[in-house]
Amino acid sequence: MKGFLRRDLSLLRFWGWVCLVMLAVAFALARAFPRVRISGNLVYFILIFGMETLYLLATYDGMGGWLAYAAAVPGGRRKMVDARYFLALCVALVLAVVLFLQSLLWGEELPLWTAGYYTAAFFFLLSVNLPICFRWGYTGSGVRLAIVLLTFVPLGIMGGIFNGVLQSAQADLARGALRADVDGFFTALAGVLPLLGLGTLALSWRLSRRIMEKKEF
Amino acid sequence: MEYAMKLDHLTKDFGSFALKDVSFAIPGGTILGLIGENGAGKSTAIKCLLGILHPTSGSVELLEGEGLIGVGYVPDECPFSDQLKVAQVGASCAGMFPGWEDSLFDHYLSKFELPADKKVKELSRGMKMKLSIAVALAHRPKLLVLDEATSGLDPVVRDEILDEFLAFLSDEDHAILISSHITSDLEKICDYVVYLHKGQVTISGAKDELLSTYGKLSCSKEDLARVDPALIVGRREGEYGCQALINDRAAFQKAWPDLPLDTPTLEDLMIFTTRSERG
Repeated sequence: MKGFLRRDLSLLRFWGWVCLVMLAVAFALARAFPRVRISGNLVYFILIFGMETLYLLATYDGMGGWLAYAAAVPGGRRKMVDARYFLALCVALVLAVVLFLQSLLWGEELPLWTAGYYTAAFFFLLSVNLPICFRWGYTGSGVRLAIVLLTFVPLGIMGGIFNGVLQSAQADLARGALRADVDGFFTALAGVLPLLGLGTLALSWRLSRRIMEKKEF
Repeated sequence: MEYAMKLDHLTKDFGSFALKDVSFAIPGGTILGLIGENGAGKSTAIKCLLGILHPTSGSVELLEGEGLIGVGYVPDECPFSDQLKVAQVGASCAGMFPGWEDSLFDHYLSKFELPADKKVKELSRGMKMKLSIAVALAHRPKLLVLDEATSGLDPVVRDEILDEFLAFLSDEDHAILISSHITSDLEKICDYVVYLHKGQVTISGAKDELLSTYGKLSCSKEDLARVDPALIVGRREGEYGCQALINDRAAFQKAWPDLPLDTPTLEDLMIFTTRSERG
């Protein structure tokens, strides 16, 4: 797995710097102009950066016959998948830390539990996207459309519904129509959802391993 | 090591094309050349051998059960990402292949004059191929599998690479499988030849034996008309005479001692066999 991971990291070196600089600029802007409230949008940027990291690698995989070569490396099919999921897990960890930092900085806009929700959402994105990329690659337009329809659209709808529920709950809370411990419920859910997401990622990893075992190049 | 690899009745069916009942083996210490026109199934056979494709039926045995660990593979196209530097390719591959030796990789880099700090995209086709070969050799494989590795290279680089292959074959523990449609390269270095045509083995055997069994006849149309058609593999007729590939040199020379036969090349074997089918 080490060799595949090293290859992935080498390919991401430039992208990693881009992400760091963009994040630093976004954080600085959010601190400098608190009234603009860009911190909410920053969350989506972070999610997109995270996913783009994996899409970038899937694009490199599809170039120059790499996958066929990797399949001819001893244990290559399995190690390729393991390395990619390990890297995805690391990206998720970084993302969770950044989201956590954001919540600490802009607690009013982004309560602490939102970090848990978005981390869970990222796990969900990874769980669906990685097997798709291993099965069909990331170079076809059909695959990209499928990814948008299967992951980003449902996630957007779920986010919209959740946001509606949350706002209504907050309004009810303000009117005294809801018990005050509802916040505790959201916090507990924020702890459970990432764990569920992690479980989904484990299932997705097993699925990707099976896909790669059977795939022909 | 008796055999470096064995393909036994290998079949791979794609629907529109099929590799049918292909069997051959590479004895230790030898080079086997897989020849055939574009689309004949050479790469398919190699991919089945390396597990890149799953055969429909038949079996593959690599290095007496050792599997891919002792195999160095050089595909027709450099598989390493254009964005990586040569040194990064080495560092990645070090973690992929058991038996990798950094010093050996560095040795091949300096031997092939490959700059470690250059990106793959900055290398010429010849240099990319040398990089693939350096990677393949740096983990001390026992079997080297080369799929059209010399195609598209200039004669000087091709010759340099062929010399490297001969140096690799220092003892009976090493063997090479090389596929190419540049038959002149294979003629220089191969001990055995397998000719694949439309997914099937058409000719196979020891190269010297094949070239001495077959004969190339250059004569007039009238003389060719005298020859038993059963001995003619294929013919080529021109304005001033014709040529034919004879499948049994000894029998031919006994029956028609007045007609001189030349030693054919592997290219002759390919061309005349294909022509015989086209009529």
